[in-house]
Amino acid sequence: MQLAIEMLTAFMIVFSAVATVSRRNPLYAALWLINCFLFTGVLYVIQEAVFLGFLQVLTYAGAILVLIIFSIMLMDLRDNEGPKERSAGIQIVALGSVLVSIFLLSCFFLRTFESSSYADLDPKTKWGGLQHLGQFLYSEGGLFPFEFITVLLLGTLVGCVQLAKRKEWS
Amino acid sequence: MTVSLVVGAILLFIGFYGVITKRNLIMLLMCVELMLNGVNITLMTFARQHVDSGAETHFLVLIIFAIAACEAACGLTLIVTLFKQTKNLDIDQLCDS
Repeated sequence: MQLAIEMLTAFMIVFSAVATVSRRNPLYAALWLINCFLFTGVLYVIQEAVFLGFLQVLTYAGAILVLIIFSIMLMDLRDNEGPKERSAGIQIVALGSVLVSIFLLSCFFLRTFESSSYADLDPKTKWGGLQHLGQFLYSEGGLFPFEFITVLLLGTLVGCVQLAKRKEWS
Repeated sequence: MTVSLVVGAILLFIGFYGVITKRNLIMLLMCVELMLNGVNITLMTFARQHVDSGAETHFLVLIIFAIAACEAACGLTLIVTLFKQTKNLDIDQLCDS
């Protein structure tokens, strides 16, 4: 049963991703991308990483995609004014190389992890929950990366405000 | 488990295909997000398999979330500013001008 749900989720993720790349209108592509991120959240929940599943929906599908859609609305892009695709030759070469890469990597994964299923979870460890992550976050190993994220977000905030405030570009 | 790994690989390369073939800057940004998502799925699947090091990998995925958010914010600010200046989002035309 779990495998069937996982397969269905995997199919929906790949379908949404293909639909995202194949749309010409960025707004429709963004809507398909939301679908893809939502199903990725479902995949995390199937893997019993519930907290990250919620976070995926909140930050990716909630924050980032809303920002992208808001920017598309701000720029008022029309479907017929959008840039044309690259030439057919580049598209065929890119598609061929991507398909070969997917095939090779899939063969590697299927051979290496042929019979392995998910490891059994000890209920005491509370794997994937907030407690599991939080204990690591405020321990010695997690404190430096935590501060790194803080500084990164602050730097981004200052940079974005500075970029948006600038009136004239030389 | 292998299903998730294969999905991660497929997402990564679909994003890569989009980055190569698309000319719209916003579409490029979305394809980069797709690639990051593929990496996240692969990391989470390995974390689920090796439960002992789960917290570290969870945290790595959390860092990628933060970096993706920063990348989207900075990228969109640049794109909106560029669009206000040039009224154009075609990377080929922007490179030529």
